[in-house]
Amino acid sequence: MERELAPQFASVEQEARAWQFGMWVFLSTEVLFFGGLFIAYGVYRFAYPQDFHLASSHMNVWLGTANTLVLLTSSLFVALALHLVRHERSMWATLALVLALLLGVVFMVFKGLEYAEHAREGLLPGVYFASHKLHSVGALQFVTLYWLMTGLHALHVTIGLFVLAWTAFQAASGFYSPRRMAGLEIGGMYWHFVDVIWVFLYPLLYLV
Amino acid sequence: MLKYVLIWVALIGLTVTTFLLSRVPTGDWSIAIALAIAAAKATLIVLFFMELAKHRGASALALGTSLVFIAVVLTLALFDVGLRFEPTRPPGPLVQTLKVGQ
Repeated sequence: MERELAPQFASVEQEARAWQFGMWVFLSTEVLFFGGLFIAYGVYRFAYPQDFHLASSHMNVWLGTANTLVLLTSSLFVALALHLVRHERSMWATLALVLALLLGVVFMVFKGLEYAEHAREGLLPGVYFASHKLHSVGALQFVTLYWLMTGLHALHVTIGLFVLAWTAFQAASGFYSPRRMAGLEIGGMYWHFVDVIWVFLYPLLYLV
Repeated sequence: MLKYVLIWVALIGLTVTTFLLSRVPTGDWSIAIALAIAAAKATLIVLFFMELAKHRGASALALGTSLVFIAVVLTLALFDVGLRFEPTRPPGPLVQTLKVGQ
């Protein structure tokens, strides 16, 4: 069942370290990618503090909070999957990954419900903005940033769902062992990263 | 196994805390408090779920570099919009609403 080691690696441990480092470099570029939007949020919030505060109170804080709990729990299952593979419980690890995947789907369903609600209220980005309650320039900026930030995040969640499905399939096939599980580790890192971004989006868009 | 569950409990606890704190008026401090709690949650996830605490080599350096970059750009951008004086203010809705230092 053991894969062959690629010729550039001296050992399995070195291969795992290279994969991890490569993933950290990739995630660092992702931090910069999202960072642009966070900086835009900071600048416009500084310019329109009252408008941002008012507009964020029109977001559905209950769905936002529920989604935070859903993603954190999903992350826990991915962390447990790694732990279970390390203790040679591949079938339990598969179950944990499937549960993480299902919670990711729940997140997307909640997000879809929220988007539908915003569409009904005219809380749409850019030129599509047609709210009867919010009229200020700052509110339009907030709503546009809300769609950009959550939209880019939802795209990452969607990619993450495919990553989780792949790792669950690999775990079910008995591909991972305590010695060789770098693919699961970096796939899990991607899912946790998506969680970390949401941890910052949640207070900025729903709470303050 | 217990370790991961305890971290999850801490994450849920911090989420409930930030939600409840958003319901009480904390004025200008609200965004600082919310971001401090978010940073604490992110640190727990990065160190223990993403296992950065265990990863050797330059991994932490790669992540740290991107975070420092974001901090520098955000700080300079806020100084720029916050400290413009009259002749350097371009026309438009953004700077008209600023009225900083007046």
